[in-house]
Amino acid sequence: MSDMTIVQSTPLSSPAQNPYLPMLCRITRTRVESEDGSLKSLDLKFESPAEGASFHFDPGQFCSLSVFGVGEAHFGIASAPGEFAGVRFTISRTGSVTQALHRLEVGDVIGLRGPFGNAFPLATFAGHDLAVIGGGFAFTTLRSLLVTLLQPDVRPRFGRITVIYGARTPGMLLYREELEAWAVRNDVDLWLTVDTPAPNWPHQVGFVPAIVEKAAPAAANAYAIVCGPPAMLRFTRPVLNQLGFPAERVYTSLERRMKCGLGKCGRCNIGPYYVCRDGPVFSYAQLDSLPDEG
Amino acid sequence: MSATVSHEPPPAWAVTYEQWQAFVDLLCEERTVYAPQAQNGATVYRALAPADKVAWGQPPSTVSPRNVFLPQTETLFRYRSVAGSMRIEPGEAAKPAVLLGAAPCDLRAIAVLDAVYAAGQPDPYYVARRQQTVIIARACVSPRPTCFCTAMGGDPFGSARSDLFVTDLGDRYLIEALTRAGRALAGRQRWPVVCTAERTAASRLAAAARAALPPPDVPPNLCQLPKTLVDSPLWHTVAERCLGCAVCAYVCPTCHCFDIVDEPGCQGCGKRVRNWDSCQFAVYSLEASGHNPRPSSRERVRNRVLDKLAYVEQKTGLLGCVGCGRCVRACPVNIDLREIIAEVRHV
Amino acid sequence: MNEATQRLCALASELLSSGRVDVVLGFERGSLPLRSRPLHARTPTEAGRLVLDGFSESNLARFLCNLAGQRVGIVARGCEARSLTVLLQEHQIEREQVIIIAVPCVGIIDRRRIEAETPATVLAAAEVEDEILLRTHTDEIRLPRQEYLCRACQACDAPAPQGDFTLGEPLAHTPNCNLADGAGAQSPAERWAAFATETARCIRCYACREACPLCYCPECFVDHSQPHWAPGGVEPKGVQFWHIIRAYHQAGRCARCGACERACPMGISLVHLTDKLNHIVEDLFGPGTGLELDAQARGVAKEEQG
Repeated sequence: MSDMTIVQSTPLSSPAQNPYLPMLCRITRTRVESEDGSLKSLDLKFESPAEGASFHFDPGQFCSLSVFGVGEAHFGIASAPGEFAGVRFTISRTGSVTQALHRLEVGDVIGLRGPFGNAFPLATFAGHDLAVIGGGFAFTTLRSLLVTLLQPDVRPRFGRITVIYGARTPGMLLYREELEAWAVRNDVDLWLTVDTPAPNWPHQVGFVPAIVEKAAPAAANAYAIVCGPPAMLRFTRPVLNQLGFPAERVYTSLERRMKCGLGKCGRCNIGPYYVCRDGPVFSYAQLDSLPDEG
Repeated sequence: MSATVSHEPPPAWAVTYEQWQAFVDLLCEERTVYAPQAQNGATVYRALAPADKVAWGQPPSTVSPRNVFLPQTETLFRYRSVAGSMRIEPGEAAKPAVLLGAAPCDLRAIAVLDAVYAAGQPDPYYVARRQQTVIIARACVSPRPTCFCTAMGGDPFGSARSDLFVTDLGDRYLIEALTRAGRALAGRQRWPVVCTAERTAASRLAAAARAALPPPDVPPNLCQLPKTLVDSPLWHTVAERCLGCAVCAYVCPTCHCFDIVDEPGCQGCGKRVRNWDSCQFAVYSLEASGHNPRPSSRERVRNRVLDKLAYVEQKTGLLGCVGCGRCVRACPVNIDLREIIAEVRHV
Repeated sequence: MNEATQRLCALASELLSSGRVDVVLGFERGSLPLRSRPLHARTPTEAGRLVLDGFSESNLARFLCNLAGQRVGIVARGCEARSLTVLLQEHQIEREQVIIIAVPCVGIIDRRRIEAETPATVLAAAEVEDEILLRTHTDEIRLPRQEYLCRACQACDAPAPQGDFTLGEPLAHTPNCNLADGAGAQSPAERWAAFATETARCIRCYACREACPLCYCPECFVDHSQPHWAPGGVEPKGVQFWHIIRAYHQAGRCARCGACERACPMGISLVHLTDKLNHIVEDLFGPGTGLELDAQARGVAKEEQG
């Protein structure tokens, strides 16, 4: 056959060798995270113990979840590696697949492909202070990151950790139990904010960029990680600039419409990068050189 | 890369048209043969049925032979609801095939597709078809006025990546075997070995074809995208005319974007397919939230051209455009990539 | 045509420099023989590139919906004028937004037929009086222009619109064929077979949709995911659904300009489909897409007050 520079043929039939085939997972827990019902977490367990045992991921990575007959969509992994036997995703109900996922119940079977993408560069962050900034629904992979960082054998490797997380209203904040636990820890400086004043709200009021300015995490020897909707990212960046964070020390996790998750179908490209393969975690030093495609 | 790295010319034979037709007939008995066929003025690569005629007209075809390795519609797997769970069956395995009559520009395009699909996490469907397909390419003796393969570093007689390479000498074919598979196929035929005069005739035809094409002028390495290029009014001017259809993407031999979609059947069964897609469609990058990172034609046109001239090269080391000119011929509003490339040099 | 072209350039230049329009939509010479392409002229210099010829394949009215908020001078042959009528009836554009530069049309040349019938490569082409002159490497070929018009043009009965400006004398043209010819005589099975064969080579590039001034929906039905009306890709079911529903959406609106089939890279005969439906609508509801800019649309939905 014609010479190819690469590879033996791989059988089509095993997910291990055919990355388009989903692994089957069963829903073990569902939980509505937001007061309007639009954000819901699903915990999944692999049907095949072997596939479950060989599924390893790092904070920042994502998977595609299939509702057979409706389609696939991609979600950042919200649980931390080894946190429990299974994986957690938080789904925002926007399109046909996410609506179908919201209608599912404990015991239903869906498909999972992944993990995809790069992870937060913890080796790079080690030894430094961290400012973790999240807005709204984008806090999912930041949960995975923070649960990992706050483990007793991991926490000492990092300096000060400041977390700034905002949502429209108190009811839209994700992961209330985790937030309450972190609020009383003395090894993380947690700032919670909502857009407009709310009754009995003891924390901050204001958009995330304003609270970042107020919290003023020290930029020297620090990395910032910012995840949120495009508008929030646009207004937070100048605040971080002013605080002295250079582009190579500000990281983000990009959202793009995705399909294959493997860097083949082309859909999620931004310039020469595929968000699914070279990202979704990027530094602004990488992104600044690309066409402005917010 | 070719299996034979030697200074000897590859083994070659000279065959009559009748001998060649008999060979093609034999191939059709053993494999699915994809050959260029005329369909109401357009040339496309389709599986040859016994009564079909190969359209040996002027290369290249209207639509590239990309569909041989990346079918426009392909079933990834079928699923069936079974006892509270799901049963998944992958799509069809690849069958032995021949790509007959690929042009040298198409061979260079296959290198780009290999770099995307066979590298990294290999795409098993693509890899299987590549390994099961013999490629018989054809020299471009008379390129079209819209061809500019040479300007993009190509050659109308470039045979790399083919198993057999066919040159039409006018009254017979000169056949070269480039790989072991090619030698095996040819060896069975007992064709007359080529003589010096025939090789000379082929060389003359090659020189004439190259002379008819633009000089080599590979676009500058655009890995550092200058801001003047990204923000250039050029994109706006082109975009005003661009219809936002997928003609350029679908005729192109290097374009490879696809969509994945579920097609439910009945009673809890169905299939997941992938279909060609194009970044020129407005909805291509539209997110469920309503946000579109490439909201207007300007961003989309810029993305496609820069992908061809810069991004593919940054990812693979290979230029994303092979200069086949298919998009130039097919664009309904006569957007001419050659003009855009010339402008890009000036920016 | 030369004198008419000069008058067009002068008029366009005047409209632009006086600020009466922001852009003049017309055609300029293309980069390939037998091709002229749309031009958005925004300065008098650019207006100097305008041409009037038989190689101008697109329907310029297609670009109007992208020019919201701008005052547009549009070169309008019969094709553009008929589409404009429907766009105005359907409130997609405002009358005040456009200045119609009516030009009598002598038909668009069927370049695919010429390319199919000319084995040698056409290096250059020109229209000279009632002939088309082609130059190849070895020959000069002359073709009678009237016989090489697109079928849509041969069937056209309204090539000469009225406008804010009218360049040249209106030309009468008697249609010498009917686009839906022959369809009536075929049995349903024959018609289905012809339709299935013709559309079998569709590659779902949607050039037909994007070339059409009346396919202006921000989200086409084929792109809906909720519900997922039709399969994408090239399996016959999806392809046939696409073409049938598109024809239905065009029924009674289609201007019969043929821009769709000229845009199609596979040469699918598309006006044939929509035209049949046009005739049915006309038989049932009265005469159709003509050139009366004030005419009411046939189907008008009134919102109930209170």
